[in-house]
Amino acid sequence: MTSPSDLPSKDDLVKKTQVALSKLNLTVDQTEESTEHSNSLLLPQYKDITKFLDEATDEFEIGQLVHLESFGLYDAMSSIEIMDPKMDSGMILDSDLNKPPFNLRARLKPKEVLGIIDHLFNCEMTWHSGHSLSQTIFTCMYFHHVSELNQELFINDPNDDSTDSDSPIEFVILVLKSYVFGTIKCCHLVWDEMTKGNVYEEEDFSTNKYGISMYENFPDSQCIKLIEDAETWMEQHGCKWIREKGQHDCENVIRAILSRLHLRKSFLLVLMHMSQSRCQQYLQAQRHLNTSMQLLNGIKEGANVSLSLGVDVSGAFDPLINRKLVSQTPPRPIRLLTMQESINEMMNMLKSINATCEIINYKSATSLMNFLVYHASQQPSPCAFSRSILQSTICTENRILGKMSMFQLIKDSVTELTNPPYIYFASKIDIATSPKDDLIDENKSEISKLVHNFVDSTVKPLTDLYRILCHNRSRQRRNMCKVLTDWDLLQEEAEHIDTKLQSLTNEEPLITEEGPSYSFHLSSWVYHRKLVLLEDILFLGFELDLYGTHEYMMIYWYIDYLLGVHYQHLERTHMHVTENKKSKKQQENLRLAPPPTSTVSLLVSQRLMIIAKQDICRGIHRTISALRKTGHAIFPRLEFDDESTRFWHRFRMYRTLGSPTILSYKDFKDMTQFDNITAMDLFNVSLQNFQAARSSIEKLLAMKPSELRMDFCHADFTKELQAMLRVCIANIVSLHKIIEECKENEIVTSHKQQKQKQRQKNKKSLTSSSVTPSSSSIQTQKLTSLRKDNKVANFEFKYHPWYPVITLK
Amino acid sequence: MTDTPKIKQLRSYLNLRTRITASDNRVFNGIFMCIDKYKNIILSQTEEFRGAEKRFVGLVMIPGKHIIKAEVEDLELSDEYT
Repeated sequence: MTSPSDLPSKDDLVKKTQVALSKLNLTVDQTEESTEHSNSLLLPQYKDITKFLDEATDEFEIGQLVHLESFGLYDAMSSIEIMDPKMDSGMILDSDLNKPPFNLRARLKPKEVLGIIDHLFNCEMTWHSGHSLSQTIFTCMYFHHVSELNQELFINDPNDDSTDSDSPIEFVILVLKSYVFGTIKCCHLVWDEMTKGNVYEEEDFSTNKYGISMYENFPDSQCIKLIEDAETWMEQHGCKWIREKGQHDCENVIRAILSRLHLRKSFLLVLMHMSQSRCQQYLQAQRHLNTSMQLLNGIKEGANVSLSLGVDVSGAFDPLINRKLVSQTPPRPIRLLTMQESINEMMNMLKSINATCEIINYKSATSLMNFLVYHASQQPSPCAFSRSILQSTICTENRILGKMSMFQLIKDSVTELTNPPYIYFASKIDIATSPKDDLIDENKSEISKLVHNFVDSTVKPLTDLYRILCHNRSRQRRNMCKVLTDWDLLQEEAEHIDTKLQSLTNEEPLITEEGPSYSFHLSSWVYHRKLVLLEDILFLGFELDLYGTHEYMMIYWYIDYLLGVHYQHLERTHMHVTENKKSKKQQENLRLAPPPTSTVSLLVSQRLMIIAKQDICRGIHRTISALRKTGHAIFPRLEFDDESTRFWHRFRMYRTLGSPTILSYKDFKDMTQFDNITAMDLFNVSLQNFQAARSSIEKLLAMKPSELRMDFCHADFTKELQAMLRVCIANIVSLHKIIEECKENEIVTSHKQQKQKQRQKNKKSLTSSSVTPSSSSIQTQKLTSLRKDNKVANFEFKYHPWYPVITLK
Repeated sequence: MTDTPKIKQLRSYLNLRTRITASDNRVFNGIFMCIDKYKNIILSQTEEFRGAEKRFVGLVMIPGKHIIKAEVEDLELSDEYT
């Protein structure tokens, strides 16, 4: 907000000055001096108002403000208070004054070099974990002066009073310099990847460079050479010198420095290979990845010795640099990762990148999808960089894994599940060279056109889905909700295309009890994917801790319903896949698809998984209803919201979908009333559910990775199954205990319960039929008083983030 | 609440470039936005000078007790240049 009146005056002034200067015939360049000179002329004249301020403010009434009309209290609040150490980043604190100055020319001892190397590594990993560059890497003074670390720096130093006993300058100009350069190059490669926009800036990662150069012009290859020079020097001279100094831990120091140099080199090589386009050099990258992991393990194993060797160098790291770069925000001190945490962080990152390299060996679309699902659910969650790399690998410039087309991927994905007739996805060349058949030939191009339409519409939802699985966990759920409608629309479109394809291929429907049934190959696949989304959105709510305990019952009940729909859907698909095989034998002109044994086994395993999940969910929500009956599950008294509103809210995004049918709160109440069933019976039914789930999981555990399409993630899949198994077993044990306890109290409880029921029936006949929340809360209140013991239902997600173990505590 | 002549004059300084020296000898140069009875001053688009070191700090509030010197752009003098 500059006052407009003095703007032209300044402009004029500049002109006048320029004229004056030209008259003087001075050949002054636009150097610092000249601009400074004219600046001082341009500066307005000031008058001292210090005294006047005192007088004027004395006349203020209490609370009076003099301010611009446009300037409100809200603006005032967002200002930074000067001289408040919590807000003012420019304040010089006492602690800053006592800080020793930094000396770039210091001849560092090997241990000091090691100290800087380790601290810089911590900074790097802290940056990876989401903090800003200004508080991590940029705090390193050697980062900003790395190119000055040359021999001349030491030769021309007039203050250099070094003797022969001082450490050789190579420790600084070779070892430290190459390591710092290596780190900078690594950071730069990571920065390049992160700015592709695959992950959420400021949420997952911070890429702001604050205008500071990362030595972009210094080539990576030269950096590698520099590190190699340092390694050679260390081996030939450095080691000797350290040994001559003859400290007791000299061998450890040598090993520590060398291993860090090696690690930096191989990590840089990994990043260089990964950054090549079209995933061409992943094989080489993997080789260096393995080396890196071995070296890192070496450092980790010798942790107790090597991590404490480094010695801090005063002034080498200056956190205050942050103040200069980020002046408009209050200082927020961060905690750097410790050496141990940094090593773990890097290890996870390397493992994740390695897994990404693996998927280049594409097996099937389903296994790729499964890999992503399990990768996304990893704990601790994969770091932002590896998630970005994974996204770039999977889809860059419409190439899948650097080689496949989207068409191929969608074709595989659909074929693996519903096994449509070969003709659907046959390439144009195949169509042209196939034996002439008049009837089919006309239709062929039409079919191909329709299928291509389908593929075109599928590309976006499917790539979105892949991307979502590479986001952080909370984003995953949020974005899944966003794409739901896309999948719903796609399903509708696919159904249209399917109907047209039916007539074009003269598909004969299967005759079932409910009438003729068509296969709907394409839309079946879409529906399957959509149902997975619907289930996962609800499941993720548990993982992200979104629900209150009193909501668990309705959520699990709803998932139970969705899984039921999904199971039926897959059963139907299964029927068509197996039946079609027979019918197609008769119609040879449609060309027989490869025997769909893989499809069948996939469908079988998928169905087993669904039924296992369903049994667990059913067990859980039935146990909760039983516990409500016994009064162990306390239902909070809700003043400002009631269960039906909450129900509506929780499933509102499913309301707009074409399928499956949305269930209402009334459905929920009707189906979970269980008036005629005692708590004991419910416990027993739940017990059966958990037992059934257990046997399904055991069957799944016996299946082969290729049958399950879990080629890349079988270990994770097995781990999940085992976690589910533990949930089942723990719940079975707990249920037995609960039943036992209930039996003890049964005589008293059952007596009272009957009374309670009588009362309820009376009330029901009196009041309206709908169950109002107030009456249900009264009900629970009364039930609570039925309890003999003071135990409450307790939900622990200790084995699996989606399924709790229910105990009484 | 009617303004006294002094307050009126103070009001006329709003929106002018102002230079404030704080108790730790930093100089803040920004646009005068707001002041209260305790001389707490808010400047916008502020630059901070500590000797030769200069940085942009944006919207700041300088508490009255930390103000050693306050200067405001002298329009009458500035006019001489136009």
